[in-house]
Amino acid sequence: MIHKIFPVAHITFIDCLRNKALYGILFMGIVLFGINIIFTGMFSWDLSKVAVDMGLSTVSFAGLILIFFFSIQMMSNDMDKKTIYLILSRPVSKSEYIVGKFIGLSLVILISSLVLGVCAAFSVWLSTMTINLQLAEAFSWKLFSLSITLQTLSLLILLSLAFLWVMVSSHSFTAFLLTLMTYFVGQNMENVKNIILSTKLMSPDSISIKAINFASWILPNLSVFNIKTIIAHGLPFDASSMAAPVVYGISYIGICLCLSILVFKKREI
Amino acid sequence: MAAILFQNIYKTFRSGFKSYPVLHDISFEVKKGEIYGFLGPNGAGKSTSIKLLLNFIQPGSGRIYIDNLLVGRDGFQHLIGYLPETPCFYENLTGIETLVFAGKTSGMGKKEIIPAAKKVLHRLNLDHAGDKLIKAYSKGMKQRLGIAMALIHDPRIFILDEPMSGLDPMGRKLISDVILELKQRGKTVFFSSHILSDIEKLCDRIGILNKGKLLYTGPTKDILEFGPDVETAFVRLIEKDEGSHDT
Repeated sequence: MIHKIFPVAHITFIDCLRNKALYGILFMGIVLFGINIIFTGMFSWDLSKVAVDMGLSTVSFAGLILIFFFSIQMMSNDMDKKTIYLILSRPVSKSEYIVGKFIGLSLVILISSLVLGVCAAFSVWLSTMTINLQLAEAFSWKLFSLSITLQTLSLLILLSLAFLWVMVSSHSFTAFLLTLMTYFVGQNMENVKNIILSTKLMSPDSISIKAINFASWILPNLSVFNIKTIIAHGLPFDASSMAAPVVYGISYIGICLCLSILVFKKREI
Repeated sequence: MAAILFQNIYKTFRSGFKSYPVLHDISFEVKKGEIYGFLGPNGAGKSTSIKLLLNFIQPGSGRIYIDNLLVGRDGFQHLIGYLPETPCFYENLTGIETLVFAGKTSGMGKKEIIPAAKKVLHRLNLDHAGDKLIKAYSKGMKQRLGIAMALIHDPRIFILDEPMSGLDPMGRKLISDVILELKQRGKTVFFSSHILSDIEKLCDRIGILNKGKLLYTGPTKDILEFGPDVETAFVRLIEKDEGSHDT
């Protein structure tokens, strides 16, 4: 199986790497870091929070653009332009195609996060040099890297969901909208739950809260991978507490890919 | 034993609550080592038949066999080389990279892929283009690269959907020669085409499809009882069928 998955992943990766749109996204990310340095200098308080938060957000933003305007388009093109015929007419199964494509696109996202993560760290470091920015006491580059890793994992979850929506829907725009909707719900479900709990109108044991809690993990709960605020404020943070979310994230990707394969096997191409 | 066997194939497409029958009780066989031409006007069901043959879509009922392997149940892809009607590639790959992918996924060994890729590129007059990105290829070059992908692993059966489309006269002659070479090497070729002169020149047997029904299957020379040449015979058969629909 691996010897069929690898060539699919390889051509996906190479095709993406040579796509000019990818360089446009990376260039935009680097421009945003420049803006970050200028922007941070305009603030008179919480400079370190602004610099770190903007740096990390730019990495995440570029990753989201990669998924919404690049990966979904690539997957949909395979179906619409029938490029997929040249793959599936060979001894490559639909499951090998899905896994290969996912690995290829994941590698692009990983490399983009790595490049932009280094740029983000550089922009924060440059801010400390140029505008005498004092980073929070508990700030550490290790936690900064962990935040980028978790953000990347949440991007991969979103990518696996995008795969599922591309397989379910017959149009790339529908897949785009479904992925966007899932992203917003996944980002904000935890906030909605916290707001409801803070109003104390419902007990934490009520069925409604339990249903919201359950839905927040099913949709998925992307906010658990967001530790930007903690890192930016230099709040105390136990990195080992992220083990469970990481397992959740990897399992979520696995389930989404299995569902994508199941749907794709039923789909006529 | 037949290289390709269609047995009582029915296929219906659904759109909302409506259903559209596209293939009606299609049965024919393609013998090993022969060139079989699949003809029909636009919308006759040729491409649907080819998609069924490749297991891209599933029949409503009936069975299709490739070299005695049941399509949809058994793995048959290692036996075939396929050219789609309009081949689309990953445009940021080179011709060689595309052929290496085709070779790897078809189970070829690392050492044999590059020489085989260079050989098929040479045969299809694409030697100069192997290292170029596909986005720089013309339509005819893409068509020839699609045929190179079908050839690289030297399969037993070739399924070519409109192999001459988009080619200039030189390109058409090249593909005709390649098809005849395949026949000489004992390969089976099943291809659809609108160009009746190519069919007449190349095919041992033909099948004529109209509105999802197979009007004729048999030796190319036998269709001449309907007209002085294949084109006239084809038109008469279609008109006769259309007339029977009207009455």
